Amino acid sequence: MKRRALLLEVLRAPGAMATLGLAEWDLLLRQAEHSGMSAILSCLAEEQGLLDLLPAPVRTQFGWLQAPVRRHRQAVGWEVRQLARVLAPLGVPLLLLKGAAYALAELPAGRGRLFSDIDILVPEAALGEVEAALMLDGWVSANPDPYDQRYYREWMHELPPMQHARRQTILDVHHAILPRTAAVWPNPALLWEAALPLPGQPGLRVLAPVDMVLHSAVHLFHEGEFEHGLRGLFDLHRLLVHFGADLGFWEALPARARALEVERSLFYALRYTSLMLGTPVPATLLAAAAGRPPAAVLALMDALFGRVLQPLHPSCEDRFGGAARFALYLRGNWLRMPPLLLARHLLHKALLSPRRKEIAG
Amino acid sequence: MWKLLEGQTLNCRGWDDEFMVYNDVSGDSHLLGIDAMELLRRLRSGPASEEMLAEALAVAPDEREGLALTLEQLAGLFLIERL
Amino acid sequence: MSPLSDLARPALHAALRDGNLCLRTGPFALRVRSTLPAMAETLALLYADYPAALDAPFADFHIHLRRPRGLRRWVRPQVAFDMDGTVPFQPLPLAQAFPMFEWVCNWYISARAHSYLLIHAAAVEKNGRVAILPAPPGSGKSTLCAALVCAGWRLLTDEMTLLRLDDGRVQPVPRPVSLKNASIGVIRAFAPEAVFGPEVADTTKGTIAHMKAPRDSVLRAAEAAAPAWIVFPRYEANASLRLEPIAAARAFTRVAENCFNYGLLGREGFDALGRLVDAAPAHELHYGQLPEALALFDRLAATP
Repeated sequence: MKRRALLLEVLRAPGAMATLGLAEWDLLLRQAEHSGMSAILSCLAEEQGLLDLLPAPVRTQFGWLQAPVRRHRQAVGWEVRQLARVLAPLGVPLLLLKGAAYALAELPAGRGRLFSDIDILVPEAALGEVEAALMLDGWVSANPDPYDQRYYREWMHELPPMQHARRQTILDVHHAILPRTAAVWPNPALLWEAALPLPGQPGLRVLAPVDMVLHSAVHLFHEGEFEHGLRGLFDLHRLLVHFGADLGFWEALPARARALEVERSLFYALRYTSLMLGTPVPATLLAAAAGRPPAAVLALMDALFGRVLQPLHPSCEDRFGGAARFALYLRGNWLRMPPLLLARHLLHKALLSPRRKEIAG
Repeated sequence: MWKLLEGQTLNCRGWDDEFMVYNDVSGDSHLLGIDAMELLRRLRSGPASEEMLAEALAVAPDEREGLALTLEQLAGLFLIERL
Repeated sequence: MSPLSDLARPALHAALRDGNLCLRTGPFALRVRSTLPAMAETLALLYADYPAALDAPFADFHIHLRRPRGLRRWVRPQVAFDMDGTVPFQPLPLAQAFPMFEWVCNWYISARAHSYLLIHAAAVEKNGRVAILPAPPGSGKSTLCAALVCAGWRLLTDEMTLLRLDDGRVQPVPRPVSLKNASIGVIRAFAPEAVFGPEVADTTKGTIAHMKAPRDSVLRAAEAAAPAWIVFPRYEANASLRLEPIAAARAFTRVAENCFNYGLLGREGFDALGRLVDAAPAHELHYGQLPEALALFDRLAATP
């Protein structure tokens, strides 16, 4: 029982939830809590029609999650409505990213997915007026540290996070999906071209399905922080299963990854979702050479990601778990910033800035 | 012209002259007096101008400023908005 | 499950050491793990009547209290709450292990149990009707609650009232009553037979001690009851007894201000609180003498 990654098993095969005994549930719920996936698990059980089959104490705990899930969805809807109201007069299109997009587009990836930041994409040219309008509406920069401010504005693909003075929500305003300093550059113009409107919501857009998947892949495999790595992988799985029902999606995916220069991220995304979660990725895509790293690198990445994408819980840690996470943090940051700048940045952050801890949208 | 914000059901509970209203859209709860509550009830029937509301609630001329202020405050709470 | 008192002391120590002890408090199952001797002693004393089990397969909340690792353990002994490998709160001085246990229980409930409206209030019951006592610190709520309980009222909770969303009844979670500073002496004098855990000094609230919940209250933890009164206590030395009615809408907002999860529950919270205010008229109680206040409560309980 000790080392069993129950959460991974159940995400892979949700029907297994009906077979678990109380002791297994005790462990599974703790793994889910530590991976930030408790509500996702409860929604998955509901979606699969399993609730009545579960032991009473588990049904009770899932019942506790109904109110937070509902309230979170209401809050996201409200935030988006407020943002649309603020940006509409500017004539600036508002594109929702990640959690807010999944929620408003009512995708399976959004079910039970709780997050504390809203992520949006605006055209880079409009950044100044967007920031000004947001500030007028009560949004202030969440991190006053001048070094961090400069870091974001010069190197990153987003404004420094903003926080609403009254509602306390955190907002990340992106103008691209990767920083200027990254080794690859997915052209935002391509994303805007393909963006889709949200039914019934004038002024709001979301990324096209292939772009949504690629953004999620880039976010997971480029970002430095794998604390919610399994959740990120499950997001990808949900998106791939949902959009993958359309054959055209799989056909378009590799070409789009090439156009956005993110073939490596797509390679890892398809590889690890299929390996760990059994995502039905067509064999041709898995076998494709595009994005495949050299064999030695792949072996290392397999070892690193294999550990890091396990549920975050002592029952699943082995001796190397911590080291793996750190190595990938370094890798993540390396992909975003050239090595020299990275060293200076990491050093500064270690000495001067306390780490911001919240759940990325 | 004023109207209720789209999505407001005006779920409320009243005792004497005071009312608690649940704001479906923002998730906030508001304590309102009877005048503000009356305004909201009128607007639930349909959009109305300030003049129409003043007439319906028998608002005296010297109270008109108060009416305008209350409408602004209700808008600030995201219960109503201008058409 | 049989009461904790059935467990021999060595077995209790072993169970705590192995993280094998399950206690039931109201609707919640706790699994407790600790090698700290003070924990075993205080649990044995204050939780003697609570249903306990070894090897229970499932618990709602897992509480592991241990000494933090690192150099600090030699310089200043501390206790930390270990939640499956993470330490979410700052460690406290070792002497505060049991208060920490109680606070962690409260934290778990307030963070997770969202099928109840959670009110920062005491709740006591007589003749099938519940008085809810919401109160910010310093109002004398805990002293009053402890006195009522010693005078025969059933303890539903001294700290966190659970109002069921489905039927509006109060769900008991009878746990040791926490008292601080002068209140400890007051209740010791008022009820010499009351059982107290060790007094712990120098916490952020001063000196704290926990009074054992009456056995009857613990045994009847499954009996929910309907709210009948909301009483905001206000203790002032030498004040004369005064019961002042609070208008319903104001009661609504004042209770909401004392809720942990009112905002999170959204519409359901609004409806639950509205039903409560309709069912239970609210008053502010000014008192300077405990016996007077208790007599007033008895008069309330006697009204039809």
